[in-house]
Amino acid sequence: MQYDSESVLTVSQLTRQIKRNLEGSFTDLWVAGEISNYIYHSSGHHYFTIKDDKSELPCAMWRSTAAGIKVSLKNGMSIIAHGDISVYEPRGRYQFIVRWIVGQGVGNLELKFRELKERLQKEGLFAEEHKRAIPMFPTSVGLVTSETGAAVRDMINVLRRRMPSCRIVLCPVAVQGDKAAEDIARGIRLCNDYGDLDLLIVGRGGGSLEDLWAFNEEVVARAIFESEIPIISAVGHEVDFTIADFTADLRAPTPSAAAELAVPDYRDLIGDVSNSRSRMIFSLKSRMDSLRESLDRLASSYVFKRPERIFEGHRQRVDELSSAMVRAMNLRVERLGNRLGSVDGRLGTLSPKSVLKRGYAICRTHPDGAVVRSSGDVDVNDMISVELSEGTILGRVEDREQ
Amino acid sequence: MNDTEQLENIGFEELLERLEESVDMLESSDLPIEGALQIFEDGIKLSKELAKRLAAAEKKIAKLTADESGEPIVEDFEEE
Repeated sequence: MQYDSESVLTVSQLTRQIKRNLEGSFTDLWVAGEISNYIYHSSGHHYFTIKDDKSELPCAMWRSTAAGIKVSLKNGMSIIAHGDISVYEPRGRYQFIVRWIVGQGVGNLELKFRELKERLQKEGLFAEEHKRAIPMFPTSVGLVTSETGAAVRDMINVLRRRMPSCRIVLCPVAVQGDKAAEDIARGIRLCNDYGDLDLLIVGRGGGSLEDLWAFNEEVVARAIFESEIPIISAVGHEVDFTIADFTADLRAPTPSAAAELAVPDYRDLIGDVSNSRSRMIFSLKSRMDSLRESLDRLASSYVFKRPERIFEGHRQRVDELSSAMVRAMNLRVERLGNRLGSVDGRLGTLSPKSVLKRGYAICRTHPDGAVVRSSGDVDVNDMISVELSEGTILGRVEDREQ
Repeated sequence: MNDTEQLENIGFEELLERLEESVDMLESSDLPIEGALQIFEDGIKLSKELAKRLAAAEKKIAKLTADESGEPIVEDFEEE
């Protein structure tokens, strides 16, 4: 073949043209593929290829870009990468400079999440009116979580510390992997069949989005919604909400927080009870004291100390009446006395003795003593006694006259 | 008013409510003294029962699984 010496390019010139061409045309692209030949260079830059079944694309991701990307890269991983084609002139190679990566698995998951959330929300599974009230004083709490790991231990410790009298029942389930969602739903249903639980805590410790994914599955949401026992969700993913969180009757950011929400601290309750006791005792004592005071006041009244004073008035009256009575009697006696006195006086003047004083004498036969009223009562020479006012004379009848 | 046997069957929440009611009644001074004494006595019984329940510690943790027919069965959970 013939060539024109003027149209002969140097390698650099050609490479430069190719670079301009490719870099101008292949910018701002999204590419999907599987990672292979992943190298994490000591410089901090990442080198890998992404491929599909027919082709390979060399990629580079600078350290500065990588810092902002949460997805950690592994061979075999499906990703969607965003970036531009660049030509590395010294080696005559093109490569895809990656500016952003979305784990393909995650991309799909995010979509699924959004879809499910909208659908269930429309159905009303998240609605306030369907949420059951969390009991204030549960006597038994069921834990639907992994039997191993920190979450279950943390929950047990917090529950024990706050309410040692509360019964704890563990229903062990798988909390990650393909079978987890079914298992969690089964666990919730089993707890409902068992029945003797006031509250359930359903959850697990922290992890990646894929680890927690079971709690975004529909079967778990439905089991939570249908549970007759109230449920606190405790998926250890502090900031984001899982579908389980939306459906649950209460959401806690972590398993420990769930245990705190589940039961009150018994020390507070003991304080309340003790406080109530004190108030009752104080109230009753106050009442008793006030009654006693009234009683004391009444008891110290004169009525009890000097009961006789009640009768003072009566006694006085009685005295007065007696005196009056006595006086009345005396008066009467006096009057009678007076009458008697006057009668006596009159009687005195009528007394034979006073007649005698006037010079009269009483003549009697002697010794019979029969009073002589007529001269015929005696014969001459009879003995007679003559009673004078003073003394008596004894004599003999000398003569009598009619 | 309450026998101790009956108190044991009444839920914690209800006992607590009854205790609060008793305290309120005692603190209002309308009650005649015989009524007050009865309520006081009952209130003390309630507070004792509540304190007893709070102090009781559940020692064991139970584990819930299902048997072959899917029926729930409960056994002791061995903690490490």
